[in-house]
Amino acid sequence: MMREGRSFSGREKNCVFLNTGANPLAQARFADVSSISGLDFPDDGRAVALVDWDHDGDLDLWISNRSSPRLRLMRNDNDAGNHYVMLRLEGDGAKTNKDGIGARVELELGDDTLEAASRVRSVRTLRGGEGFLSQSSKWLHFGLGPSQKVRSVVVRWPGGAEETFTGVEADGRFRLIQGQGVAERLSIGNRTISLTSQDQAVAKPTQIARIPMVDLLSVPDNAFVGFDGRKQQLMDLKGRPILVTFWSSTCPHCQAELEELTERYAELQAAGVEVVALSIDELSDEKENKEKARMMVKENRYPFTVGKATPQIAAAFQVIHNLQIAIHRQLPLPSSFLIDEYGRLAVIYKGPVTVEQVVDDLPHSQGDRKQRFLAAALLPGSNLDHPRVDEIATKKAVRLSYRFGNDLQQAGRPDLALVQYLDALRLKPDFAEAHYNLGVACREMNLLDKALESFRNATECQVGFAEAHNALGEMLGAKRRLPEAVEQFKKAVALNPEDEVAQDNLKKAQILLRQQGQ
Amino acid sequence: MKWLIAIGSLFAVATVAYLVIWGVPAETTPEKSNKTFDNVVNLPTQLGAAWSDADNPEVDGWDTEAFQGEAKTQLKQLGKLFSHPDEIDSEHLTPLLMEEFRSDRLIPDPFPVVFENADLVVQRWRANETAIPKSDLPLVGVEGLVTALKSLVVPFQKEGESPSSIQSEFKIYRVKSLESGEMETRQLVSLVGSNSVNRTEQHSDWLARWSIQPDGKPRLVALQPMSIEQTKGARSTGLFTDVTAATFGENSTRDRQFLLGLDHWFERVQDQRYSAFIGVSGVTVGDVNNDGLDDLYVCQETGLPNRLFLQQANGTLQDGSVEWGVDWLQTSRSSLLVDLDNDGDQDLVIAIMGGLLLAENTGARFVVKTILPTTDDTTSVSAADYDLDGRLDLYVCTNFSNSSLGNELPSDSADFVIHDANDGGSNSLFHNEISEGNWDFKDVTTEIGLDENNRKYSWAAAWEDYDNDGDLDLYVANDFGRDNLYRNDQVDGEIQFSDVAESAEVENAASGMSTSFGDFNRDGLMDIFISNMFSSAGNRIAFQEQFKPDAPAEVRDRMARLARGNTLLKNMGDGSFEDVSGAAGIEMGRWAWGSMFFDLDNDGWEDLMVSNGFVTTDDTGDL
Repeated sequence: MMREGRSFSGREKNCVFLNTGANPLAQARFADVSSISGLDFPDDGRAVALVDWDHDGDLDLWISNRSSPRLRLMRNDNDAGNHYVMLRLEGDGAKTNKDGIGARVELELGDDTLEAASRVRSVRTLRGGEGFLSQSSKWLHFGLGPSQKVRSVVVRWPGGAEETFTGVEADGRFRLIQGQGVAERLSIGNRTISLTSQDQAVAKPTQIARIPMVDLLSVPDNAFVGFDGRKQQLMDLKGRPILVTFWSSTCPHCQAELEELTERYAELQAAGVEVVALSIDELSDEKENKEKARMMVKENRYPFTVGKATPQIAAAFQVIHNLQIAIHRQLPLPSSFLIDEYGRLAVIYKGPVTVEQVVDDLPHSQGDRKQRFLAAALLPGSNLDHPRVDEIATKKAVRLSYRFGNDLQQAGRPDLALVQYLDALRLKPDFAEAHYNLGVACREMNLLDKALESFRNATECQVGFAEAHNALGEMLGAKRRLPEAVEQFKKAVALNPEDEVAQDNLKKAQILLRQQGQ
Repeated sequence: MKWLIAIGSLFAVATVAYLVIWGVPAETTPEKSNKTFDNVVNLPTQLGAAWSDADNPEVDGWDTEAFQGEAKTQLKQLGKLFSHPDEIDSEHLTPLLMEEFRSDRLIPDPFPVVFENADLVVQRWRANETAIPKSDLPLVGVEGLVTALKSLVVPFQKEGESPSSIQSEFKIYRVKSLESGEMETRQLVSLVGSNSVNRTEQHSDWLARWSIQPDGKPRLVALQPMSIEQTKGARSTGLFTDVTAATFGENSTRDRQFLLGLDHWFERVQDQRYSAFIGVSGVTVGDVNNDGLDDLYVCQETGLPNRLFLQQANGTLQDGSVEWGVDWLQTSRSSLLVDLDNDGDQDLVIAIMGGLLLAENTGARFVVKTILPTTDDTTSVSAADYDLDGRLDLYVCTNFSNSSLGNELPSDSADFVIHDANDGGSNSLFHNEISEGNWDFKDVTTEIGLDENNRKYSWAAAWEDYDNDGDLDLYVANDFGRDNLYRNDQVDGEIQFSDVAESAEVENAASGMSTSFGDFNRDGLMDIFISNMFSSAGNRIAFQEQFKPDAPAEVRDRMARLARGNTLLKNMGDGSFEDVSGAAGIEMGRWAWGSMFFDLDNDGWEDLMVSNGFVTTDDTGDL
């Protein structure tokens, strides 16, 4: 549902709970002050990090959101009139890490006249990462309440001893260096901060987009119907880049796009691009629109291939989109797909596309993955050059083809699934499951030699792949290579003694083998 | 009978046409796996149950659920009146109630003040749950309700000003059929509003009785407040104000990258994984250039560059991402600025897909030293010196397992159990062995015992010496089930962690999203806060007797816990914790994600912030 663009637990306001522990009457129950805090935005809130950004002695918040605006710096303007200290720790870098992360700091407040038991304590630990995907400032913040007297400061250094610091006074910022025992006051320096409060102008999202593909998915063939009623296979045009564009007679942007494609067709021809413009009017119940589409085609004499989209081909391209893009809203009109000469999807255009853009995009699928990755960036940035990153990226591409292969296989199209498995195996030759599923597809297509080879590859790529041994046995059996088949069935049964099919196969194969022997 | 092998794919159960061996036709008929979507039940207590159904009980067609929908409609009518308080009159209220309607006063007298400072005053009253009066409520009929509602509105108004609009929100969290044929509901009622001088919020819990009319519409028979908390702010604006725009200045990176929600970007990038779609990007604060001012590093999903913003003396930000060499486009979830090599500057750690990237701070630029391989779907990362050798070690949480592909909700995986999932990713602990410029880290997860209960959908972890024995222990917040509390012990001179969640009584968590430690009651012991999803629908269902009557009590409890909301665990000082969430009043944090203890008002007491909201799009209808 959310994928189709609907909210789910959306517009929820952030919550703030005030600790009312200072008053025993409150009985350790927090007060819901979400609204009074001013932090109750209906954002899809995520990470929260604490920092005294403006050095005024209270904690401000950086918040990240899924929704816009995706960052907020919320300045704390509380006027409760309480005192504070801010402490920065420094470990010796030998026994204790330099940052002092993990150190526990305990403050005792109140003056010497109070009994020890009635003095108020505050403890804080410096942590390196907590909350949710966030790390807060290493400046430890202590609210002192109305007290202006810090009686003692004790730091328990991780890996080191407990150390008492003197010299910490209310409403100041101090550095506590391990082993020095005396806090060092840090002056705020020459800071004039005047950050005015202002609503953030939220930008409207748009569906119109050009999406260059990083991973290139082979587009399965599908059919459309010419306006002359002749059925055509899209992939009959393979060997040249194809721009498939979906249009409707009722969409002005589509008409403008078709006009441009017509006027500048020579440029496309020179670049070797085939255009297939498919009207979706056939898919609607409006007879009038169908007629209008027919008239448009007749009158404009488009120099490229035009046709009527079948429900299958329209659905196919929506599926191809949804397989790769997180938001699954219905494609807008016009939408176009640039398929390269090898039949791989290179660029998706949601909304109108210009001839210039298409020609510019032709080399896109020829580049290496890194080039495609940078070209597909939403905003300029750099590629992280590292073998581990490449490994993860390849895995993602492999899974895309593999998953699609499974979907196609599920749909009863082993011929189309096979292409996807081969793509996956090209990127990851030792992918046992892909070998196995390729074997299944080949078997269904009666390509028994290929199936046999694939199952064998599967057994070689993954030790202990019981199903693959059984399937290989079946292929060997079909080839009357009974001793080898028996051997495979035995392996399958050894690996999975509960596999009744493998047991049955083994029995039958052994019987046959015996019969042959007689 | 053979299945197509698929890894976690929804389409995993395709049957393959049987191939004839030796020319004999197959006699087996395709059989259904017992782990398919066909077995999905409406309530997710079983294998393969649809996770989203946890918040959609209407599908099971219970009478009470149909009823609550109608009751909610009626409450919304009531809510409309709060936005125009002068319309609170008998004409508008009559259609909502029965003639015999009776109500208690909705604001008690006296209304005790439980907290006060210069910014705000908190008043609170709670009924005795065990002694609820059933009749003889003082306010009668429609005029009674007018009186009751008007009393609620008074604190929002300023004399001499026209009545200001009040926002209302109702959450029905319990439904019960009474023997009389009437229905009883409990609902959280929030009213929020500002006038020219004050901002006020009221949070009530009402007990309501309804009579169902022949047209199916419920009408109110009785109304009683079970609790009310009112906080009045001393000004009309919030205690916090948004200064982001001023901090970034004009024509900044923010405009292009951060003023557009992730839905915009997800329309145009080739990454359809669920784990990306939910939009979880971390923020990190640290002083990158040692100028004494904290800077900001922001992680981003694939296709958008991570950003380093350097704080200037006047508090504004400059984009230093390119200059410092950290504007990577690869999927990044969270980061740390910590001194890994103890040389006095902040190095950068980023949880990217499949690894922890470590980059050394060289003074003006970060240089990548290594990427430590991890489970693919990383989430939070945290640093702590667990073995007290003076160097910071790194712990990274992961959510999905590698085999799930991270493509869809985990419930698409057949082995998924929503209240106790054990098929998530493995978290890793890396021991820092940096020496002489060699950035070596060793994965010690298994050898020190952290692989115990380590197949959870983890979101976040926090280190703390909860048992005050001098070393750091680890709490891990996990979605879909139990959390971990790993206690750090010395066993024969070796460090060994063990998951003591059960014995420490902290395992009763649910959809753990984030966690932080703080001493909320100032007894010197560190307590734990965990944000969890609150679902009023889940509450309504799971607390009813007919909910999964055949399920074991443990499962029923877990399901109830799943929807209850946030958890506050009080450290008892004897190695155990007590769940004080209900008494502390912090459960209802909606669809929670981030959370932190922090002292909002400098009074020395730890307050709490919870960020929330799952997915908001630009449509009009929310679910």
